[in-house]
Amino acid sequence: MYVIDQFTSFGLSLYATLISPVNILVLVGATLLGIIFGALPGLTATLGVALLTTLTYGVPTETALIALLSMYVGAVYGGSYASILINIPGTAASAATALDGYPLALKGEAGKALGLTTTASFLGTMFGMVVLVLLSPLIIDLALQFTSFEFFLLAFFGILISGTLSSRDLVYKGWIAGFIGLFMSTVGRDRLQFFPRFTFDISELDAGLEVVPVLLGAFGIPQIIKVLVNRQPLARPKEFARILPEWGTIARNAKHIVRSASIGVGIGSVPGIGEDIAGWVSYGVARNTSKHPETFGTGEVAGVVSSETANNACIGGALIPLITLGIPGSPPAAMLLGALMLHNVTPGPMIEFEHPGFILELTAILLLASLAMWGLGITLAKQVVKVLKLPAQVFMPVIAVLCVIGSYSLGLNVFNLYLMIAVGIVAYFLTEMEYPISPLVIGVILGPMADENLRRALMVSEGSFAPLFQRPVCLLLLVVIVLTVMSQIPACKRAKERLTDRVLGRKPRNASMDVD
Amino acid sequence: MNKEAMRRADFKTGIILIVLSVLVLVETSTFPMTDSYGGVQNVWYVSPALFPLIIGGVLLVLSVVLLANAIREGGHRGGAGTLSPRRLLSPSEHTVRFGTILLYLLAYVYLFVPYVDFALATFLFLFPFALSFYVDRPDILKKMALIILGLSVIMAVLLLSGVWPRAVESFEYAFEIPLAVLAIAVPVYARRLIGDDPLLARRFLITLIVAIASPLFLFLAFRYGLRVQMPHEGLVADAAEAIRYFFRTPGA
Repeated sequence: MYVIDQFTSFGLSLYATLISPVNILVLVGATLLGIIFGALPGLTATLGVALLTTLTYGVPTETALIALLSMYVGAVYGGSYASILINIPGTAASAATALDGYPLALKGEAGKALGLTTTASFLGTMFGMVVLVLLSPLIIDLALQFTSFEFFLLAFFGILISGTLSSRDLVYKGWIAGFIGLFMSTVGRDRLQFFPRFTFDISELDAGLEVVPVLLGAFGIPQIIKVLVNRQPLARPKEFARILPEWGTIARNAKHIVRSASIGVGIGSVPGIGEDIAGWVSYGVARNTSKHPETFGTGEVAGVVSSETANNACIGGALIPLITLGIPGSPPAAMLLGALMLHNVTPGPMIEFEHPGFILELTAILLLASLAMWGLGITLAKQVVKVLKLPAQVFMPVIAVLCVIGSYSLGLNVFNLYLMIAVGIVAYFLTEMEYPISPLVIGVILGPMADENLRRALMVSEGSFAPLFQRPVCLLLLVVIVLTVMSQIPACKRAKERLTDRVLGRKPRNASMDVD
Repeated sequence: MNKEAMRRADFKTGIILIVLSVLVLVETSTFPMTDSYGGVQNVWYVSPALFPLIIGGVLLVLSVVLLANAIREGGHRGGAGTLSPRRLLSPSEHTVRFGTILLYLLAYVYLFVPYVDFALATFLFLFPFALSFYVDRPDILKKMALIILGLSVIMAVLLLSGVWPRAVESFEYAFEIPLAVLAIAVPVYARRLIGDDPLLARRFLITLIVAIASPLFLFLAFRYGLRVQMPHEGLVADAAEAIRYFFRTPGA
């Protein structure tokens, strides 16, 4: 009965979205914009969603949601164009696609590669959507039992795990970034006592730092500086005749699709790490499990399919913790959360009470967006790839202007502009020193949740930390947090190695294996 | 960045972060601990200081770890040379390009946008900025940057000395008319610098079109489409308003 009920309301949701011509126009337009955004090297899905957010302050929540999700789906897919045709990933999400996509293009099979990525991205998005709609109610049921302690730990867990997994240099650089983000979130009046923290009597800081300017600065400015500082030669896109859906090849690669989609959803649902990591991991797994790993990197169809399925499946995955717990699963999802908050929608376990049918509406939009993406990909790719001829040196300064006007138009506040550029320049230096930016942004977004819940929890327990050890979910989160931290302490690392060596009966490894 | 340079950078950021986290902790210690904002007696765990204390503490520990690691890997050595006079006088190409980008961004956000008509400000930012990097000739990059630097210094002096606000009060376009003249002069000057290289001439034209079209489009879209008031509305905004008024159908 439940399933039929869900199905009926899903159909109604779909119908309600389809009935409005404005929504359809927004859907197709935003998807196309997303594909273009994704295809242009230097413009990321996160930046696309962030810039589009600034245009959706005034529109109804549903329309805003359609625009942003379509942008997200389109941009993650669009990155493959540049990867395949000019061997420069359009977005980080498609970096792994270039490894086999470009060799295919060199062989004159660019059209086939694009057809494959189009269908693979479509199937990936659909898979993520199905998991989202099946899993979310279960997680919400569980999350409704959560108390403030769990939410406090979840926020910490999110920052820690995102910092751990997205750091390329030292793991604790990710944590530092996360804590800088948390610190930024404390600026302004605290929400329980209204005490001004770190405002230094600047009245603009009273309300706290706005999320949108911070995100535009953190993701936009470093990107602009990086692209312009390093001279990027304008590449000539490879030619291709036409794009077919390649259903036959897809069917032959069904096992890659299923595996990659699962990997994508899984990685997406981990807080703060997103499409890029999903693409790489999925590609790596495909190569390592292949019977002929040597063909990877020379135009292996399975490689292209794996990374492109996973990065789009990641979208549905990233939305799961976003909707059920209020914790974004990927950087674009973080931006989406910021946008939802502007529309007074607070994702979390209460979402279905506050906004009945929200999850199904989201699912309907995802379905329509992936359909639009597929249709546009098959029919318009030839026109869209013309944007690859645009010189980055000209459009990046225009993006800077968009970041400026976008930060300003929220609340018509020039202060947000100053904030955006300051955050952007700091973020540039941080990225140069290999600090990941997504933990910082997650920190800014989750900070208020962590702060409020910690104090609320302690109020209920009257200052006792005992519930942390008595509640099963708390204990689990606590153990994971402690293990994550311990795994980075050199002494613990060595002890663990000695232990595993002894257990497995191996000879002790060389001490220089330690990565410290 | 190679590993050695990274550890040198870590050494410096470690120190900066330690100072910052200590400052956070010091500032937090001024927050009410067991009394509330209103002066009522309270308990420690409701204090607004609790969370910042945790963050400051963790950040301090992490930055000490960062610093210790940097020192262990030799990051504290050889870092002093980065500010030698020789390197300041002949900076690397990377530094020059980075400095130029920073100059444009800061001038645009802190000086142009708040005080000059949005479309005009954006053109003055966009055209020399995009041209410098698209045409990609060191002499043009340098000359354009010098123009913007000079303009920024003059603007900053006029603003800080109070001349700008007073002059604008008596005549709204006191500075926008000279800036509009500059906006015409810069492309003319740039075109002469480029000479008759057909490729660069084409790039000049593309930049010029983009630099004129995008501010106008954004201004019209935000001002009349989304009804967003611009940070500063002057010459171009008033002109647009005058045109709109002229074409407005009576009674509509």
